[in-house]
Amino acid sequence: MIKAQNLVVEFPIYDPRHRSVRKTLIQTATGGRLGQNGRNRVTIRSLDNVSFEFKDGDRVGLIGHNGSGKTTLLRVLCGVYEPIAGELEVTGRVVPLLDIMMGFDHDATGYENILLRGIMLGVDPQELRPKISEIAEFSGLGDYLNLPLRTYSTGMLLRLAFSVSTSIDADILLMDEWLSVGDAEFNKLASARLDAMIKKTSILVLASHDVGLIHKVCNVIIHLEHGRIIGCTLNDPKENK
Amino acid sequence: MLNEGNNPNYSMVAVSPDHIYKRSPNAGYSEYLRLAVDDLVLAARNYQFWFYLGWHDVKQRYRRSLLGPFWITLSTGVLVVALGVLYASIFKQSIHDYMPFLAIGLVVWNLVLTSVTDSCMVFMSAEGAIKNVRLPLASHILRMVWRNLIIFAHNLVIIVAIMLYYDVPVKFETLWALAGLTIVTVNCLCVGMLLGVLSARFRDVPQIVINVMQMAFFLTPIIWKPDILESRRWLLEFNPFYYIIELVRAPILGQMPSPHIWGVAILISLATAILSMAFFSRFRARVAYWL
Repeated sequence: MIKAQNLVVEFPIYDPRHRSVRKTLIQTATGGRLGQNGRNRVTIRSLDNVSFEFKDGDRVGLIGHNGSGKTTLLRVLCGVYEPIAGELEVTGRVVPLLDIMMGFDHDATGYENILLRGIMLGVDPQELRPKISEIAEFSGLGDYLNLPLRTYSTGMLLRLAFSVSTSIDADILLMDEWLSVGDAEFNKLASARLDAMIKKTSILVLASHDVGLIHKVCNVIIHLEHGRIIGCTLNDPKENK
Repeated sequence: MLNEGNNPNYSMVAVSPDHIYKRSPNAGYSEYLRLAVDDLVLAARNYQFWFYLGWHDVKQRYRRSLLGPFWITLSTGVLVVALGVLYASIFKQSIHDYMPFLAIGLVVWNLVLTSVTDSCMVFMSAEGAIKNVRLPLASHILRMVWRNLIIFAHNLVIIVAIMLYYDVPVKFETLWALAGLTIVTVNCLCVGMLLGVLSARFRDVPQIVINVMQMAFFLTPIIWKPDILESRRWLLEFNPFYYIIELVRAPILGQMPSPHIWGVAILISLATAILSMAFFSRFRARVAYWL
């Protein structure tokens, strides 16, 4: 369950050179709302009085221009940014899949990185260790897992990241763009695994530019612009499959 | 917790219980303090994170190196011996007396120095993690201090070697060095909170800290023995590093530090802790915004 009321997230810009931006506070096509706070400092208001409530079973899609606040909203839900105003109540285990490459150490081996990534996501290494062989098998990387990550291609890195990330149970899953990785063959398995993971989660919040995808997956679609919710539509994913 | 799920081909791994949180950011100072204490407690309890990652950091240092784990010990050892031989003759001291004094001082200083300078980068180097997952901020500080303690343990070998070589007796007093080490560790943690937060906001803090520590190295009795300072004793008495290093060094050399030294050291620790908690409580939530 996620409940938010009047959330405000505002980033101050400390570099004095940007004071010239004050003189040109024009409405831009993209980006958060530029403004000035009380101390004459340029600020970027990424979320401007946002309120919503998601219940168990919701699959929420976030759409909007670049810089409209989608990723910021995901980060707030994850707990990365504590909002400067408003209230937020989140109940349940939150698993953020915002940056799939986070936590990777390129000098360490594949196996070590599975543990590292797991630890970063809050998984107990004792619990994760028995699962490593299964994650390894799914990734299909074989003996490469004994080699340092610097020997991997980008696709292989993504496969590994995907395999670890999708082995975690979540009540609330936050995704920034759909995870689509690997070659066509891997993609089939991957889709199945991701779908299975999503079925187990209570709430999914997905930010994406792919409107078709959002219509296939989400039952609630929220449209953000300049940090504000300008539209919220209900959708029946079964219609669009 | 295994979860068979719909597909029997793979099972899921459960995430350790996450928090139920309700945030009302329009809160007073007591709320900041409460959240900061929660953060510290959660970070400490979540020991797998900093324990494993601290070790991992150390292993990284000697991956692909010629000497493996020994290079940490060897590099400090060479420094100790070289400086010991040189300054013993400059200060006209017997190497027998001087070398153990120098070795312990240098090794403890190394711990303090790396903790202080690492503190400045502790949040900035963890930017990826801080901005993508929810982790208690103190985890990164604990990881840093743990890593430095492991390196300290590697360097302890040098102290043991020198003690054996110069016949420094091990008495009951030596155990008090552990208490001294605890005080040093607590101070390192506090400085981590303070400088970490300050450096995230002001980008010249790391450089200022490096300069201050370079100065402090010479102003602290590490190369020189405190009793050779006859005039301007205030340089010694107002130097916080003197007290905390002495707490570890004196017991190992067989001498209990005086109550005066203990008293001042505890006062310093309290003051550092209060200052650090004040800054950490107030600005903990801002760090993610500043990075």
